[in-house]
Amino acid sequence: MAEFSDRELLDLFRQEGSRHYAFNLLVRQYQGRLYAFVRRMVTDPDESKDVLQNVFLKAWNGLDRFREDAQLYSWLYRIAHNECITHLKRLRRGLFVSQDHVIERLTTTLDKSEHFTGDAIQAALQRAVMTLPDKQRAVFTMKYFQELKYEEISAITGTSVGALKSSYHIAVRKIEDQLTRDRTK
Amino acid sequence: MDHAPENDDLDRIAPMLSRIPRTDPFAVPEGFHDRFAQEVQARLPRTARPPVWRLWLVRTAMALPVAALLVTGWWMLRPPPSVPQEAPDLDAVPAGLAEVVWEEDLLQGLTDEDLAALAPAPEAPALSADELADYYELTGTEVTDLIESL
Repeated sequence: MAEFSDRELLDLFRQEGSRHYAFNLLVRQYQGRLYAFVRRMVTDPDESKDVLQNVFLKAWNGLDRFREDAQLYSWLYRIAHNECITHLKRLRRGLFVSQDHVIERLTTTLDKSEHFTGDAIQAALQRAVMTLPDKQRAVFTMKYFQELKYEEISAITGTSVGALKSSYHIAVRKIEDQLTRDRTK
Repeated sequence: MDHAPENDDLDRIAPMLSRIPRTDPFAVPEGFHDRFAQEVQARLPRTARPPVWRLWLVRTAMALPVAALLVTGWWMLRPPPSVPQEAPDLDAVPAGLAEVVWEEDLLQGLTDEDLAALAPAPEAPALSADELADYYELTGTEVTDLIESL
């Protein structure tokens, strides 16, 4: 599918007759990258789909107010980031459980999922990533797996670059420790 | 895969992590991306969003009756305007009553000293000839001088 520029998509969206068409193009253009992020955060494929649908519904409602001084992708990513954090919080509140229980639930989902194709070492890495607090996990995912720049992550999360570097560094150390412990078991 | 510069020292600080290939182990359900955009479209509101001027028109139309009610309420419940005091038409007032009223008004604001000054002087008590002679004798007044001065 041909990539459309932000300007092209927004111009099409602002014309009454092509509003839905433009939004359909926008969804198709960004759904793959956003799904990869949401799926790593939420793990379960069905929940990931629900979260991603909410992301695009919020984008639909807010696109009129979108300021073009930011990139559309960063803006969508920010909505996705916030939706994932909200979803995980709601999950914890709904289950009335601690962070450990949520990690256990996510890990179980991972182990049972037919949609997880990684080997044992990949599964160990995912389990280690899941032990991170939600926001730190989001930073690690964006930096390590999706290879975004700190400046981009800063625009998405609203956190300073310095704080992000620190958070990422701590996350890497935690994961390395977890992987080392898993190996020695 | 191009790693960001910040990941260059990953081999040093996290050797195990750096050896794990960065492939995406999460398989996307079959046909997910083909269906997803349609599913999102199905959840979008189908009615076109009204233009901004129409929204303002509706808001104004709703606000006008409320504003009219408020203004009417204020108009009906406002305090009566203060009417300037007009001088009474003395011809329309009975003469005696007017005097009483005006006398009372005039007396208001006067001090006790003013009132005492306005009071008529007490009449001198009537003395008999003998009492008068005793009085002149007591005060040393010469009766002949008194007669001459008169």
